[in-house]
Amino acid sequence: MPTKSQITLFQLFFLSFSYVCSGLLLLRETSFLSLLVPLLSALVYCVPGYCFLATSPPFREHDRWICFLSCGKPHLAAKIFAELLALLGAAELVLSWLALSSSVWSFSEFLPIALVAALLLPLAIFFSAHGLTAVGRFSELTVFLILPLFFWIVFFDFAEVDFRAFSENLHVLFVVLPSPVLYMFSMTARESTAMPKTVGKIAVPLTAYGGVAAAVLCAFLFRLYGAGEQNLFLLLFTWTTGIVRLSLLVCVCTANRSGGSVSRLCEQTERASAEES
Amino acid sequence: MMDAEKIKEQFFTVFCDMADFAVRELDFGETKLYIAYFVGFSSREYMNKYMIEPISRAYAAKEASVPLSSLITNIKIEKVLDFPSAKQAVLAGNAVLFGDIREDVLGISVFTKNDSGRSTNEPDTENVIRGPHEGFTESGENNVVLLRRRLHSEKLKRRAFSVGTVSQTDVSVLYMEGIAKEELVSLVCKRISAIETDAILDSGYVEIYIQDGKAPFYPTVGNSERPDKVAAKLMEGRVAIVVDGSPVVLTAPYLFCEAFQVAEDYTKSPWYASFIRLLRFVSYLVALYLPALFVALFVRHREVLPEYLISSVSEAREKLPFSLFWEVLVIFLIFEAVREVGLRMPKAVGSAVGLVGSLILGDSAIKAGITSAPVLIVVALAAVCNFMIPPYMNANILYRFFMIVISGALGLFGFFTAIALAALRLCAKTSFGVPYLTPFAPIDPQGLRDFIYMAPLWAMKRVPISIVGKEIRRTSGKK
Repeated sequence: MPTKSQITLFQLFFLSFSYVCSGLLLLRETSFLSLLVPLLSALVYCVPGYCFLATSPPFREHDRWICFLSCGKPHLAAKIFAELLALLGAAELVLSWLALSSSVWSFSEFLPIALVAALLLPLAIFFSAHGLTAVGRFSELTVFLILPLFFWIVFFDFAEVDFRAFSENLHVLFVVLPSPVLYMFSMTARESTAMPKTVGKIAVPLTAYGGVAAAVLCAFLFRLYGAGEQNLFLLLFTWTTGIVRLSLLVCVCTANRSGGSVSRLCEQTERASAEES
Repeated sequence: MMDAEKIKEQFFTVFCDMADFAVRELDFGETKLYIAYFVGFSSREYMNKYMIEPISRAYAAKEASVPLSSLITNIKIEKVLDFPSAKQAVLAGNAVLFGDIREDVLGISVFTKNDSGRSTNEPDTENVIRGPHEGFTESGENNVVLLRRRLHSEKLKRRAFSVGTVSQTDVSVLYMEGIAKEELVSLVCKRISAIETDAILDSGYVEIYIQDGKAPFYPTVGNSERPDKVAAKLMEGRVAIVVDGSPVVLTAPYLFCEAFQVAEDYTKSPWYASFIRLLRFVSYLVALYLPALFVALFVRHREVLPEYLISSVSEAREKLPFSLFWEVLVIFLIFEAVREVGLRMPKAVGSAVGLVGSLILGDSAIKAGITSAPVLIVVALAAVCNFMIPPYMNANILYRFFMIVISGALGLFGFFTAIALAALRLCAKTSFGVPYLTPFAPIDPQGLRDFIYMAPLWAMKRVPISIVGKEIRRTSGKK
């Protein structure tokens, strides 16, 4: 039975999709660069992800994240690497939190922005406290928003497409970060029934990349059909994917805290391998 | 062995002040026999036919030297060794024979329980136009028979329990061996065994004890009065729980999608069934979210609404004393009150109350300037849509109030937050270890063939893997 933090391939797809789509929608960026950056950066991060995945043995429930980064043998360097990634995740968490708060506030100006921000962060923490599995399942529900949204927007007029090559918004560089990508790889179930045995390890990065590509395509289509700020479905979709993004980043930031000391990790790994042998 | 007179005395001591308790004495010269039973609870016909007649005949023919148990012609007899077992047997509707029975036991319990209950009728709650018109009854034994009649297989197993320190209600757990997960069967049996209560008077009592969580908002144990529906669930690897005295059979696990599936869907064209299921799903969303969205938009976000809509609603509400938020809330409360009265009253009065409530009260309220037509339309639409999904009707009513309040206070942000929190709770919820939102969160491609889109029966190749945990083929997938 999958544990509280394991995700299936479908959930990996929808988490990647929600993570990237919310980034693009919150930034309201559709220049070529802003669409290319997530595609390229996700591709770059998938390569080390696949290497980690190929070399590491199936993980145990705890410390999965660090085991993944250290190929199953936790050591100090892996811990430091994990901390760095978590820091990067924390920076993005703050930026995403502010972007989502401002998106909500721009539509609900009768509320103080501080209240909106103060409600959103506990909401994201509450989500991540339910475990990545629950967040993954929640992200799968976005399909129920996408379908009516597409059905809705095809009746809109075409908008003017922004063909600029460069974005003025530097934040676009943060749409996809290595930390959530690698974190999701480490949490994708490999020893449970969630993944068919016939599926190889390559399926994990491919699925994640598929999610990123689908998100970029979606964001482009939304803009192409001129689905603007006042579209209620799009608004709900943006906020839904936004809360998934925040929760995922909270999960990344807290992953290291639950891991414990490096020495304990090493002991656990040694004990586990002794039990298996 | 105890003296017969002493046993008789003990019976009368225990069952004192119980006018329906009786002991029939059979005197065959040197041999004296006694039959303890409850008048009406034990069938006189059965006692005469299977006990008194054969024993009397044997004594008359002087062939009564064999053990008495071999003279009793009833198929179900049990030897009772001590008085508490004898007492329990009598309380269960059996007749206990004691006295000179020439066996090293206290007595013989003979199954003579009066099983004349109501005959099988079509359940009122799950009507179908096409399909079997047979429903469960209050007899647990009969309900098991109704299931066995549909599944002629040695794999249909039954485990029996007696629950309730006072009521000693018979509870049976039925499952298909090889299809239902052994862990699931064990979990259900464990939860039933752990019930500590004095009385189980209906299957609803069992449901409350065995469901996941302390007081779940949405049900995690299913129920049905239809044997065909329960048989279908057994074939999908679920477990059925039959409680004696209740015409409602429980099934576990219960998933969110089951509320949208109706037995008749499987006898219709898959296209039409899919359309109806989509309609049910949309109705579910309308019942839950339409009033809250209406409040959020008209109270907090008028700028996103078209001008003509705002003006028409404003005109209708011009002279009303309440704000829109309070108006919606009050009308919903009135509607729920009328509905409750309609349910509790006798049928004839109930329909009259419904008529008064819906037509006269509604129309008069608009004319009197207490409510407006747009609000009444929204409330009525949401209320009608709620009736399409009976299993979630009660939960939706409460959740809808919560949604209206939070949407009124925080606008669309509150609306979104309430949806997100509820969806997350459902995502994290499980029913007997199975994710509640299966097959769409987590996605199970095979299970999705029987959710909103319904594939033809021949194309549903496998039993839902999320329930049985392994691949079990049902059809070849060809027609």
